[in-house]
Amino acid sequence: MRVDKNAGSRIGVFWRRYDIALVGSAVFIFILLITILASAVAPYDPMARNIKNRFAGPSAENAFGTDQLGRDVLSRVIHGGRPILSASFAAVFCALAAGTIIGVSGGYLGGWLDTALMRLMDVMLSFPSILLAILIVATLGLGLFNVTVAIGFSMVPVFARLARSIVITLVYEEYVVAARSLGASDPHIVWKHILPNMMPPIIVQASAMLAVAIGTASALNFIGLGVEPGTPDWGMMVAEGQRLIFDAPHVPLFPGLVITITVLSVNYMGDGLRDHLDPKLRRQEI
Amino acid sequence: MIGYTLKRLIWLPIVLWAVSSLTFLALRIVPGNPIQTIQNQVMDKSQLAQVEAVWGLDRPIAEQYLNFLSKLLRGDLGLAMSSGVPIRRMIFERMPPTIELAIVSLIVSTGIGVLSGVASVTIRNRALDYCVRTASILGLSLPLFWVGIMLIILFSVNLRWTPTSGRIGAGVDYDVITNFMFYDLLATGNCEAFGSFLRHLVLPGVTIGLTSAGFVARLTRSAMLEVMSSDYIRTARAKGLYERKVIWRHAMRNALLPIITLQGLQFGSILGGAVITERVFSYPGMGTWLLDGILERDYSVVQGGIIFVALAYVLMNLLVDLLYHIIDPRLRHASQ
Amino acid sequence: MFRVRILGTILLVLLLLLSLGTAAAQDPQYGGTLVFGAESMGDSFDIGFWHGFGGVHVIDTIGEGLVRADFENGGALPGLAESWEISDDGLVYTFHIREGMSFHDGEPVTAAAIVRSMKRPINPDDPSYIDGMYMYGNQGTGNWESLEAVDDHTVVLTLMQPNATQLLVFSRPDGIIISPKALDEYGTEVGLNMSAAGPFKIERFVPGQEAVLAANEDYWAGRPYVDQIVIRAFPDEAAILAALEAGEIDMTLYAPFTSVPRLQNSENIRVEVGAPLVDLFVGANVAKEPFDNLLLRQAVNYALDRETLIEAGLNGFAEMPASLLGPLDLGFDESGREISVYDPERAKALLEESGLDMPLAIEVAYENNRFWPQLAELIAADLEAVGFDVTLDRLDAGSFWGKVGDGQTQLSINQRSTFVPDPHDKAILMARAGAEGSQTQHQALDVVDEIDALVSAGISTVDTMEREAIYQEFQALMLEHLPYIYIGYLTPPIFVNKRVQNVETFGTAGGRINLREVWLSE
Repeated sequence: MRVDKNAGSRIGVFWRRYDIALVGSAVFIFILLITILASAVAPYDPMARNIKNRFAGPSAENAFGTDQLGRDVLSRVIHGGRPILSASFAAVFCALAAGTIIGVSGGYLGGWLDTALMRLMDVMLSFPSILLAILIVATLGLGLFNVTVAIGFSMVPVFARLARSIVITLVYEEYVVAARSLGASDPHIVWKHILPNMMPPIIVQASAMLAVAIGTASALNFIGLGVEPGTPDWGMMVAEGQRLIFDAPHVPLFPGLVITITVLSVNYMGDGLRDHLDPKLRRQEI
Repeated sequence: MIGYTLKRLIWLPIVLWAVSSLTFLALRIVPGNPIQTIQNQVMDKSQLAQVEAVWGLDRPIAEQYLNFLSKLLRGDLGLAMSSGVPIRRMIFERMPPTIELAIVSLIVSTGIGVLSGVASVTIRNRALDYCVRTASILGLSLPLFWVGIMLIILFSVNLRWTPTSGRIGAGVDYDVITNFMFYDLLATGNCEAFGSFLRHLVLPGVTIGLTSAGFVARLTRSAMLEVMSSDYIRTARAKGLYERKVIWRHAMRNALLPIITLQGLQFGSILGGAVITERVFSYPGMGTWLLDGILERDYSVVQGGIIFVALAYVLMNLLVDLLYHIIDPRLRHASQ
Repeated sequence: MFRVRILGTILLVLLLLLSLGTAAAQDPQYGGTLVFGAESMGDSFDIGFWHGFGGVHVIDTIGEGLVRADFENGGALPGLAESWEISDDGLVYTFHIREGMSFHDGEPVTAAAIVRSMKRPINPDDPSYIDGMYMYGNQGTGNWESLEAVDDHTVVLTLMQPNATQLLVFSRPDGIIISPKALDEYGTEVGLNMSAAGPFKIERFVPGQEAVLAANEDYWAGRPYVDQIVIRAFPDEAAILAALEAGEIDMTLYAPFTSVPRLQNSENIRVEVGAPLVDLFVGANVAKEPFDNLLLRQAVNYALDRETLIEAGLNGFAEMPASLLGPLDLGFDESGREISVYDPERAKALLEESGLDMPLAIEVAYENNRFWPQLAELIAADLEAVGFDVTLDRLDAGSFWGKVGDGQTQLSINQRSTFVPDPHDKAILMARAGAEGSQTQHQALDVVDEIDALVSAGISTVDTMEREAIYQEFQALMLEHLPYIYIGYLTPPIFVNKRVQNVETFGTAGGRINLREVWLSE
């Protein structure tokens, strides 16, 4: 009896601390599942046109209505997660990895390397990121991979600068100074003391940058430089549907809603993860 | 301090050189050139070769590059290929509106962001905390063109509180001195135009501001949480300092660093990167100008415009770094 | 008795009011500000350069050339020249300049001023000369033997070769006359300070944003009805729609077509339909596989279900096509309507005849704005239905023309507006000189010389009947070889606030708005 009660209360505490993070994770897993199983779940072929039935509002046949070419919006929403999600995740992940490496090596080693790397980041940052992405896509051509490259590339300096700004404060923390005076090697210090302590802010930044990546992908579509035409893609659907906002609001509204829910769930998941990872925060009851 | 500033300033020309060279190169790699984009407008095609020669597009790239650099050194940004207007004149037309937009959006985002970030930590109410977090993520994730058009529909079409677009009302009369309307209109005492100007800034300013308000709120929140759990705050509390004083004096001071970095970067990125917002609100700034330049392959517009954006960005960055050093004494040693 | 008189008076007053009311609704009124929503606003109005359609609208509203174009009936109307004579050999043009006109800055419009302005592109000593003023290429200056002011009110132009379009190109935006004072005073920056002699003058110009134009009290044809015109940029389609709904703009060409059904029923907006002046077509690159094969071009022609394309892609705002020339053009050949038809069985048969393996992989390029993406997806569906395997190539304007210019496209979708009501404006697309940069790369056609000869004959022939015959032959040859496959003639919706009266729907449809006679009710 006692054991059960205890376990129950522990789950209760865990739930209370991470409730919204857990809800977020559940929603996100659900969206991922739908996206992966799209072909099995979608009621119609996302590319099937029906010119006679354009701009139909939501109904029993088409739960989310039909678009400008009479395609089923629900089926397109179900299929439309894969391109934008894979591009955004890949872009953020690559930018995070590259940026952290650059920022940590610069901030930790200092000297001319730091200066050179940071000036390089300055050069990249002084290109407005959206213009940089536009230039890259205009050069490489439309398509998912090129959009990923463009978004990822433009985000590297953000992570690099963040990583560096954390590292240069961590270097003076007592435990790092202590470790160094005890003769610990640089890789050891970075791996054991620096990285774990910089993860929480980096994770927060990454989940925020994911939102930005999804926003940038939509923006590229809005300018007409996104995924291949016809591809069901949330960003593209919102961007192309924006001109229909007065006349057939359901066309841009549903994909927009799904983008929002996805980003929210990812961010709550990220926050929960951060809280869980950060030893300092775990002690603090909010 | 002064030494550090000088050291950074030495880098300025090098960064600018790198940025302009990269721009030059990137434009030559992007398919299409200015001649091809105007070809369709001209009936007498024999004139096109002549135009190509005028712009030196028939020369080898290396020669074009040296030519571009030597002109740049002399401060000559040339004429826009598509419109024949001197680039310096266009900078005068396009830079001030964007700087004004950037300032307004920074005020909006800092105000909303810091207040909601602090509120979510200090007012220990989970519901409020979640609301702030949700709102801040929404601000980040919603596509700008989407937020923009929604604000227009709500405030301009339905409520008719604000105009849909532009920098000032259609046909409003005013004098241009510096092209910073904030100054010009106040200096000339033109109240009517000033009111119109402010009303036009509200929606685009809020649109950009909301996106970074999310960032600021999150940074404030996490920085404060971290600081509040750190030893010296607990010490401060233990010493019996007032809660409010603790928050503002200690926690905010530490939260300031990342916020300043973020807002500095944000300011830089708005200068050339408010492409979407400027487009939705038909705002005549750098973003739309550069976007059109890229799409029309107007080499001189993009080259000239990016240099100015980069210059503003680097200077802003320097300012941020200097502020850093003033706020966080620990870093003073690092720079020496 | 008394009552009757009162009743009579009331009736009389009512009648009077009624008649006044109807008079008000019919007679043009002076005054008011009209805001026109454009898709862009240039950085200058220098007519030597292209500034997007927003710039063209401003130039057309403030400017006046020697003549004006009559888009409804073809031909030229008096402009700054009240009359003109052309010698029988078509080489000498004598223009009689109307007396007593002045530019917006008060300078008198004299023959010398006109000659000065027209010679700007060929006179490097002119203080306003800028290297690379490409738009003047449309004025035909290379063919001018001499241009002189004989006296204060007579301009004589002598050509080397006859040019049937010479008169009408003076009505182009690049043909407007600029005040000599402005050319001297502002030099190369004259485009930011334009002073012309048209119905409106520039009051204020904010590059990229708007031009505020005021009625020119001294306009030769009389002061225009509207006091002020603001031409303002709205690059985003949803934003332009919002501005229209909010009553911030009175007139536009650039709202999405999909909004027409709703706006037609709205309280304060009216939709007028423009004349069929713009060609929509698919250009086939005949210099490159697989569309160097005529059978495939014909197959594409018969594969297009134009009725559905027009209905679903353009919301019905187009007429069925015949050939490269439009129904309002000189020499238009109706019989093309029998070739530009939907016949999928025939398309399949043609593909079979070609002996190529189906499905054949092809690429369709188009620009990433307005209705093009939607149209392209429908065209792809039609082509796939007959056995092609289509890859859509959506490009920004720069990449599109870059790819076209380099001859890398296979099929590309685009349009041709009418800037001058003359068939040459469209036929020029097929001239030999510009072939390498064109959508069709028609230098590779075995009839390229024949077609080029017809295009040249079209302008070197002065007689109208003869020109008609030349253009009919031209159209027949084009339909036989099909470098272009026609989608339709765009009849664009013109969105106006109900208070806007007397909207001109001809030039406007081709992108050349005419606001001289527009007036506002209320």
